[in-house]
Amino acid sequence: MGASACAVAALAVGAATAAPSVSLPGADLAPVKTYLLKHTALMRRFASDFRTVADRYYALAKASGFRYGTLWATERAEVARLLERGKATWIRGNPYYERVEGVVAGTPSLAVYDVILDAGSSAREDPAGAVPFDLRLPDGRVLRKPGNLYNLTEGMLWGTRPELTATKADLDGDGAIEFGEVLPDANALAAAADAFVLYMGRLDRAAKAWRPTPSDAFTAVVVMVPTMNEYFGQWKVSRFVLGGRAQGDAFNVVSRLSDIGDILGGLRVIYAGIGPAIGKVDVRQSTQTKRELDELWRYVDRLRRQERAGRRFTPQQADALGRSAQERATAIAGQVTQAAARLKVKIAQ
Amino acid sequence: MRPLVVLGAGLAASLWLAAAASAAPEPWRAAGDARLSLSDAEAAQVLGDAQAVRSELAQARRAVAAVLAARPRDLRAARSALADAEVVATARGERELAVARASVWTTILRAAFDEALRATRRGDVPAARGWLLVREFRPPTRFSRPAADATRALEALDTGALAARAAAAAVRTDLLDTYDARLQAAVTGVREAERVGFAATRAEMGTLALGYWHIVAPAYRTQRGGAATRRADAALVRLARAAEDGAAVAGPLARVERALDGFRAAPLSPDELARRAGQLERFLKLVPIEYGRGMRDGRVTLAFEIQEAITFRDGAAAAFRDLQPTLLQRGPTATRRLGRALDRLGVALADAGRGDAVASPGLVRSTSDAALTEAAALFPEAWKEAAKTADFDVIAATLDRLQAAAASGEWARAESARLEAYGIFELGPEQRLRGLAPSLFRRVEGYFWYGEGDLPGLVQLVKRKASAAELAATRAALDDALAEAEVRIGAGPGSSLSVVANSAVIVFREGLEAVLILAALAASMVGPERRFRRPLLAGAGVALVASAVTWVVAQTVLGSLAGFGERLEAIVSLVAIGVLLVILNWFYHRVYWTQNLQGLHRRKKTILAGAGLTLAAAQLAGLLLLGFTSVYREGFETVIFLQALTLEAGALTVLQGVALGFAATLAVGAAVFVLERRLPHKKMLVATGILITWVLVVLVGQTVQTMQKVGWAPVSPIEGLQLPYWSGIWLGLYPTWQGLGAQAAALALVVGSYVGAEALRGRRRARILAAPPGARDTGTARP
Repeated sequence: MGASACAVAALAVGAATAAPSVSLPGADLAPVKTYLLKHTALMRRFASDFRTVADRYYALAKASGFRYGTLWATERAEVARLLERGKATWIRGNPYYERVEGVVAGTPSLAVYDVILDAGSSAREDPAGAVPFDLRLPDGRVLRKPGNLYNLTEGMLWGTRPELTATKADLDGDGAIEFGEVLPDANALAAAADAFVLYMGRLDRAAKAWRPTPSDAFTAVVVMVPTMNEYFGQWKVSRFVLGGRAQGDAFNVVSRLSDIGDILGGLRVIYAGIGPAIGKVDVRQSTQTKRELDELWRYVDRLRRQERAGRRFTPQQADALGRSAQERATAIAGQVTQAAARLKVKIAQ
Repeated sequence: MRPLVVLGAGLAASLWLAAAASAAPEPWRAAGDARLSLSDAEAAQVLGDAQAVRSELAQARRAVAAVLAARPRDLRAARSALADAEVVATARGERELAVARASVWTTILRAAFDEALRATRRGDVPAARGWLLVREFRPPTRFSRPAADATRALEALDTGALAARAAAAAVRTDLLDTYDARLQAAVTGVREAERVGFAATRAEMGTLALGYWHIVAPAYRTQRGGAATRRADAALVRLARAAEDGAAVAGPLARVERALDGFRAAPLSPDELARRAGQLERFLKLVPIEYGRGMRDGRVTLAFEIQEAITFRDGAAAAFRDLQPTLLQRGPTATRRLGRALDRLGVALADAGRGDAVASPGLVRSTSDAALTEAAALFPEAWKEAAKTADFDVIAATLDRLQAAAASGEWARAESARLEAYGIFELGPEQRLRGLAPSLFRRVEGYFWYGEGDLPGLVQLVKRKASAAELAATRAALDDALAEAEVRIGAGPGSSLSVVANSAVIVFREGLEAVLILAALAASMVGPERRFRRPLLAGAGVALVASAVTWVVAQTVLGSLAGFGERLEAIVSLVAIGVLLVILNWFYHRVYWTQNLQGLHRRKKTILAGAGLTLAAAQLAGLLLLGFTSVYREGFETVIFLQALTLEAGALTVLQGVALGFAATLAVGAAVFVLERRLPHKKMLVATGILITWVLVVLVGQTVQTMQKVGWAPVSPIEGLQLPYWSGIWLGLYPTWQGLGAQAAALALVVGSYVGAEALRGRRRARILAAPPGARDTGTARP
């Protein structure tokens, strides 16, 4: 298996010509790029590891003639081990992206990778926000704009996309088939893994060519606010809040609360780059925005630590907490917009 | 002694107060503290940490005291709300805490609103900026960013560009608009919380609605009067109470919604209303066009076209929401019908987008037309006339699509969006801009096509699949130029003198092109062929009359006529090229190969006779057509440009400019014809040959460019080739393979014709010289 099995629809994303850097007194965006590159390198490693698992699983399934009953009967231990490793790899790799989502989604030249990897819907759910690629499987099937790669693979591995799973199986051998105990469609998993490698590689190259501008940085902070609002909404209806009543096919493995924390962490890095520039025109505004951003991160971090410790919030509590955090985030975005206006930095639309 | 003690005590108290005041945080910071403490108190309560709740509430109390120190009444209300929350801090008083949060925070917001306005009015920019740190924003979406109007107004006030009163008005509008949106969102929040059964959220939303209402109530009173305000106030109070007490909220909600129906705290200015009206109209017109392109035989064949139809429908719906309060006052029934038509359209398009159900293009068109009819009946005349800048919003939306398509690697879609955006510019603003600010027009066109200054044009970027950053750079420059154009067009023509001057320049420039072409053609008709000048000039005369008729027609149907502008120009130019090629062929044969003219005529005669025409009639028709097309293509263009100026300044003013420009053109024409007579005949022929060739090459280049503009010809820019703007105007040179290739082919044809004629003439001369003397009886060779 290799890239040939995953003929992703042609997508000539960004020849990545560097844009002229516009300087802004006080701003230092080099750490933002360093932070981004550190994570794109981690993502490439994750994609490679994930493909190794997917390829091995595909080889086993192929050997069984893609008869999953036979596969499970004959290769039970190996399949269970592989899928456990695949899930662990996925859980480890997901936050790598979330930590830089603020930068990627908020930077016009990189934003397409946010759609591909993490934010794009399927054509069926929302044609306007659908991913820009089709996934061609090794067996010739084509999944038209199937949704972003993290959601897609989560759905395959944990069975929330039934059309991409082959059968249920008691993977942990405890006598009960619980959430996430499925055998994914090997063709789909292999193709998605190839796509991960392809697009994470491209993101890494585009990130290396990127020359961060003040507009990118300000836009990244402002643009993430509505995205976070969506995330709180997704958290409220995920398994982390609704438990078994959750019906969504994504965000059931890594809590969206955790993602929000990661995103805020990335935004703090960006703000550290532009805060001094804001301080040059209005030190009060700079101080207040930094403080609010730090406090918001602490607020979310506290909640996610509680959640990781096993606390489950009721839907009403999740609603109240999410709304409160969102209001604070909106205020931050608003103030950063005001600062951009004073500094005459353009916020991309 | 006692007075001294009193004095000392007073002094000490004053010093203590002053020290306390200097130690107290600034209001904006204290407001931030209050917000954070209240938010943290809520989190602590959810996490069951009663001690933390009490601690956070105590901090909130101190912060509130600092913020509202100068507003004792508000301070009392806020303290009371906090006291209620403190009472239940140990119990599970989520609802009480939620209400306290909402009450205290909106009280702070109201104080900040008042103080920011006061500070702005007295010109105290630092204080106003401080209070503006304590504000909320319209919730941003993927497509909208928080407003910065108040901040910009303070910047302008600080630099002296804006008076305090005007700055205060801008600050007030920005804040009122924000809290109006927040009020609406809170009312919706009560309904939503009721639906899902979240008691604390419902209580919080009810109190928030009341708090925001208190901020916008003065604006409501101004618009609707005291009695209506009291009723609305009572409805909001009842809603807040019912939401907090857990009573039924359906009744109070309905009363609140009735009271707020059509209310807009910061009404749009007349210009903004007209602009939204223009947006609604333009976007709605585009919906069925895009939808129709995406459908074939009852199936969605191009999904992205359906998405574009959805984008335009959403744009129209957004404009409608802004217009709704005003429209409701003009005609509530028709306004609701318009709203329903937009909703139906939205449902039909969404269904098609998802593939659930596919409405016929006819149904989408009729729904769209119905909405447009309602809008036309509702919109006042002033909106229809003043909506001239709405095209800029459509262009911006279309350029957004270009960038989105490029970011997705869908370059064909990106090019389609580019052409569409240019088409909208060309059909609307370009006409006015050419008259009002020709240099600005050239800049905009440069960014759309082959670049301007150091920046490449969009067509070049799309063709070479440039990076998002490069596209963004050109887009930013284009946006700036378009913004300037919008201001320029919005400002109108300025003085009558400038309109006269601009009209004259347009007529002279276009007239000069026609005169040069005619002069070149006429100059070739010498000797016996001088008689051919008559039909040529007659054709030109007919074209002048036709241009005048076009002017009259354009007065009434400018929009639809402009829609055909470039297409008609392309067709007329193609005819002109065809006729010119025939004439050129004739010219070279006539000049360099006279002996064979009879043979040529004989062949032509045979061919034309077969078609039922005589040679003389064909020549006459051809020359008439050539004269006509040479002048009418310029005349039509002139009429379109001048119509835009006519709309701005009236026909009389424009006609003065036309007269001036025409007189100048005639003068140049006369000079050219006089010069032609004075030149030696042979030199004249050489000059004429070069001139006609130049005319052909220019015509070919410009026609290819026109065809590319209307999408009839592909565009392949030549990388790295930058040509100045004048080379396009005067030489028809544009940096595309198609344009330069066609020009090279035309030139090759002409040169080939000359070389071929020369070769044939040489062979014939050699044959004649080689023949016996008696046999040399043919030919009347003339140099």
